[in-house]
Amino acid sequence: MALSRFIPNASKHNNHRLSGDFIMLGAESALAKTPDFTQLLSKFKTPYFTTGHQGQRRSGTGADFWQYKEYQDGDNSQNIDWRKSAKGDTHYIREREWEKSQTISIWLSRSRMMQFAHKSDDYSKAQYAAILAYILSAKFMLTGEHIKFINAQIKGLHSAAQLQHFAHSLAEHSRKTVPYQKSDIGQAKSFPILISDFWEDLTVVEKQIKQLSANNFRGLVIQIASPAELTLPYKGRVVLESISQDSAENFTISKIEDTKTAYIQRINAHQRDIERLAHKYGCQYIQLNTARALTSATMDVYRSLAGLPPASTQGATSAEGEI
Amino acid sequence: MPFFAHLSFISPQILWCLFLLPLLWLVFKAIPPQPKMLNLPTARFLVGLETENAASDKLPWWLKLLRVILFAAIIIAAAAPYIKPHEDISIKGESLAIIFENSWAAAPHSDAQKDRALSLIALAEQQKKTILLIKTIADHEKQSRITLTTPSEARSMVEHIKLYPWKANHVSLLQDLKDNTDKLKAAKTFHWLGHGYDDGDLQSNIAYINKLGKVDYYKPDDNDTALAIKRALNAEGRESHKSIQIDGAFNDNKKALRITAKDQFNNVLSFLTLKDIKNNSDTDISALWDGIEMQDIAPSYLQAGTFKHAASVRYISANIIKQRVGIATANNTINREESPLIQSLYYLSKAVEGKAPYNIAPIDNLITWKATLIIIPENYALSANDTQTLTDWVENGGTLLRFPPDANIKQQSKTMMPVELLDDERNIAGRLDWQDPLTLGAIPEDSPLSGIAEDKTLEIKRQILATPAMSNTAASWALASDGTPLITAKDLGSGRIVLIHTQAKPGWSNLPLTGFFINTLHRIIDISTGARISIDRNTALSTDLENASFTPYKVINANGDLIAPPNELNAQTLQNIQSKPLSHSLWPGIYRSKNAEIIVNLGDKINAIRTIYPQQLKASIKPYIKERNVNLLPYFIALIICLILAEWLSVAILTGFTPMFKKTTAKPLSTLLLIGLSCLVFSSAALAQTDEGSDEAQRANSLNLAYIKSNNPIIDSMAEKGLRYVANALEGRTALYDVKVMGVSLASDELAFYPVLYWPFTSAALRDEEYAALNKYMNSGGMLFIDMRNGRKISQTLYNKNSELIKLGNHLSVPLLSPLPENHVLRKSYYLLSTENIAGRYRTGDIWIDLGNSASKNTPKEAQDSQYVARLLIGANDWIGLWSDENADIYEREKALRFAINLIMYALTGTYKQDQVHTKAILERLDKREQQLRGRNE
Repeated sequence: MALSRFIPNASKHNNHRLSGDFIMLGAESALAKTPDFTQLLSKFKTPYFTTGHQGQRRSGTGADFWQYKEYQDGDNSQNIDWRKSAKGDTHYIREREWEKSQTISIWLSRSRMMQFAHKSDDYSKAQYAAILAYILSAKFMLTGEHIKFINAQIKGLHSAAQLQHFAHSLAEHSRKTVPYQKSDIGQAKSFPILISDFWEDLTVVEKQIKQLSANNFRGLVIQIASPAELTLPYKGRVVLESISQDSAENFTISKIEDTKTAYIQRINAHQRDIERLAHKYGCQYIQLNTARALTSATMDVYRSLAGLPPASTQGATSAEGEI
Repeated sequence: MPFFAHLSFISPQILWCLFLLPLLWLVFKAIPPQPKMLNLPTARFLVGLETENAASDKLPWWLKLLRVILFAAIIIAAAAPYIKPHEDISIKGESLAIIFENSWAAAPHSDAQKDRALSLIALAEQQKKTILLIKTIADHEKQSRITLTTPSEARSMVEHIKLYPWKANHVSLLQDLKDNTDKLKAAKTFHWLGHGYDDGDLQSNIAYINKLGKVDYYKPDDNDTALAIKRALNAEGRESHKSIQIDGAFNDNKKALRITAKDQFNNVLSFLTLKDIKNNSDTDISALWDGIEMQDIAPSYLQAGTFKHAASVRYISANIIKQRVGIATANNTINREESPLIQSLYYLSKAVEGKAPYNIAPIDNLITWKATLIIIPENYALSANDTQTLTDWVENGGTLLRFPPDANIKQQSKTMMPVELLDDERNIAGRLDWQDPLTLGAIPEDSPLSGIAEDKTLEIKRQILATPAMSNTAASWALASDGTPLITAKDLGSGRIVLIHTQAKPGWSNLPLTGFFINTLHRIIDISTGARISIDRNTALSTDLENASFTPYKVINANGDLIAPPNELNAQTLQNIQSKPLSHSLWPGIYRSKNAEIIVNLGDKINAIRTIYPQQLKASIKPYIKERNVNLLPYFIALIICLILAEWLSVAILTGFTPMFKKTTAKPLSTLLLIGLSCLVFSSAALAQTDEGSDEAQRANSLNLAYIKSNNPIIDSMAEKGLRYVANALEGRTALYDVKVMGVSLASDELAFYPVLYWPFTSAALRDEEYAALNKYMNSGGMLFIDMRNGRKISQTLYNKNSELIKLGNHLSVPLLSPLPENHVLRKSYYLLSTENIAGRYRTGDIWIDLGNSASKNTPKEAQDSQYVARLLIGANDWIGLWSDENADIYEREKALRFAINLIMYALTGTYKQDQVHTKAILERLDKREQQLRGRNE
């Protein structure tokens, strides 16, 4: 029984553990054990999400034929379709349809609350979120999508060669706690994935979702919570810090176990509110806790994207704290 | 449970607080436990969910127990627990023997002595034994010291035991013990309740009792041993009330001591704090007397230290204080152009100096200053006004001393003379005269001056004569050799007028240069108070005084108080008083004859205080306070600190190690306690660190008197003791300080630190390397002083080819030696020493000294010019024997000590005193000393 037992966040949840290698290691099994996201299109009839290149219905640099066009000065002579042109006097140029990949825009909450972990947790919420973001990025990258981060500092992911660099960048920025920035605005014509604990006030959460989904009317809202936040496994007299808009205030609860039922009711209500908000802006809502295995979490995302009903929640062990 | 049987508390009342501890349990119940700090992101969902039942008794039981134990420990510690020593003596034999030392030195701790005796008696009563009580001084000379009695009687005897202000007579005590061996045999253990000093022959007494049974010697703590205040000699070698010696067991000799002057009602008149006093070294207490003389008051006694007992007080003759000498002067009578040596003022003041305070002022001032004797020098012209004042003053008891007036003021000065004078003075032994100068003639028996030694060197060349018909009231106190009066006196009222018929300056006679002049003046000063002559060792004795019978006036008891003499105390002769030891027939106190008074102080009768060294006695030494109580308070404080830390740690564990600064609500109970307690502990902790330098650095920093260790422990201890005495004297009398004594062994010690090396010679059988060390020492600037300690002349020793000295010479590189020249600087380096003064225990030996390398320089004349400092001195007078002997004659020991001081000074200053600059001072000293010697010897 080491001293660390008495010191939450002492080593296991130390933020400095959050490195690129840590992320890649944590993501490894989930990446291997989950189906390829490209199958989302073929396997299911009504996928919420389609993968791969999508024709833009205008000429461009795609693979498919779009139209013939008379040669004009300035056109590249190499583009002349000699077979077609041989049929007449006019030189025709063969134009192709402009094809473009989808952009996935991810937003990762880096608020101070995300650093929380109960002593029985393996990952802090921030760590869990970072690994999840990595898994999703990698999966989508393999289907050919562009990954961009709404958080300005985190670089996007475009090819497999960037994976390691991407993981490091993700780790580096997830280590820092940055409050929600107003400048984080979602990209139009993209698929937003918002990862946060969303424990803020409902008005704040609505603002966030509205701003970050940027009227795409699609996307994912992933709420990550620690099991401790959901079940309140504490006992006895505690001092708590209530953080409101701009002031923090301490208050004491003499017997925290007595408040458990009321608390869980409030938490559940909050979660339902968030789900409602997500649907309001056309997003899917996924609720995860850090005790859930990442493979299952990835599968949850997959099912949600494929339009399947969510699997029954597993692994949310209610860790009982003790004094 | 022997532990709890001896557990006691200094303030046991506090233990009642232990009953409050259950209350504490309730208090802990009421106080909610320290809340945990919880950093929950969802905290805001808990707002408004507080429950009201705050009194949650969630403290673990063991923490409560810990706190209760902590408070219990604090309460017990506050009651100051200690463990009483274990004491049970089972008495062997039929009776218990108590030897009670009731001599003077027992005074400071007689209570402890009595307590010990009473507890022993109580023990004997329990075990139904008889008591054998032996007092070292019986209550009466005829009474036996030894009583065999029942415990209850013994108790009343001990309660009423009397201390006597003198030493016990150990010889007769031993005799008593031997005579009562039958009684003594009943006892197996003898409890000797001692006072820490050896009264005479403690060892043989204890050795005798040792044959009968076990001896427990109870020794008081050094702080409780008695100090004695003794007479001492002033710089001029005379006994003086301004100089004392302190003797006794000091704590490392460094204790500051307060000397207090008190009047007969024990009021403090003046005091002086002495620091760094040494045993037996003369201490100048002039500062004390300055204070007293300024206040114009008369102390009754001096007291050393705070405890008043027979030896710590020194009673003073009232005369010493009352005597005040005024020398009349007008502005025109001090001739500043003339050399002081031919002015009478100089001789008068020198003669008075040291005897009594004196003042040179106009007559009116002198009378307000309360002079008891006014001297009118020859050049003072009495005005009519003066005559009137002086007449009144003399009639009220003053003494006026007059000298023949100078020719120019003869007419004015005719009044106020004891006899009517002829107009012309008589010139004897002028250039055209055949007559020899007059000398001193007879001193009439009834003259107050009788007893003053006649001085054959006195030569009177001019004299003033009285008219042949002398008035009846006048009397001659001394006559010149031809029968003419030399000193005449006349009573006037209750005072008197004295006239010396020759002037007090060298022109008329050599009177002012003689000891007779000083003694005469002192005697006149003595009687100027109208009281008795007070006698001390300096007083010139007449047959009248020697035969007088001195009756006890007051005696000093063991508490140092003056009380009425006991009935059995008889009148004594001066001889007896001065020489006999104190006993029931001679108490210390004030003895008076018709016209003289002698004060016997106990301190002067104790030759030397010999402290008892435990290893000397064949007895087990025990302190009066049997065993010290074991104070448990420190242990309790340690326990409390441990408990506080434990409490703090457990609270920290329970609340999850939140950093201290983040805490806003409550702190662990222990934090405050810990802060308070650590303040307490640190404030009381003595942080003094003794940072001792290396041994050699210490030796280099102080003056070390070193002697060569022989293998003979007796010689070594003598050398140690003797040199310690010399070192104390050096510190007391010279500017040297921090003088240490070291025994060195030639083979192993570095000799370079010692300016002079004393070798109490035992044998010349030294190893070669030891001789090499000595040779190196002498050649590199050291001074080796060999004391052959046999009292023989060096030259005689040398005739014997087998003598140790010859053997010594074979190994030691002896420089050319010659006998100590008469004018050698060693004789004047500090004191002026003549040949007889270079005596140690023997007077017969001589000193040979190394006067330099060149053979031609062995004549005294050339030696004087030499700047050479001797490296080797050989003497044979056994100085160490005298330095170390506490019972030696005070004057003999003083001589030996002076030689030692000269030797050290010579070693340290070399030929400095050889310089002609000092000659004038030396000559003056020589002159004065001769006068004194003459005055004392005859």
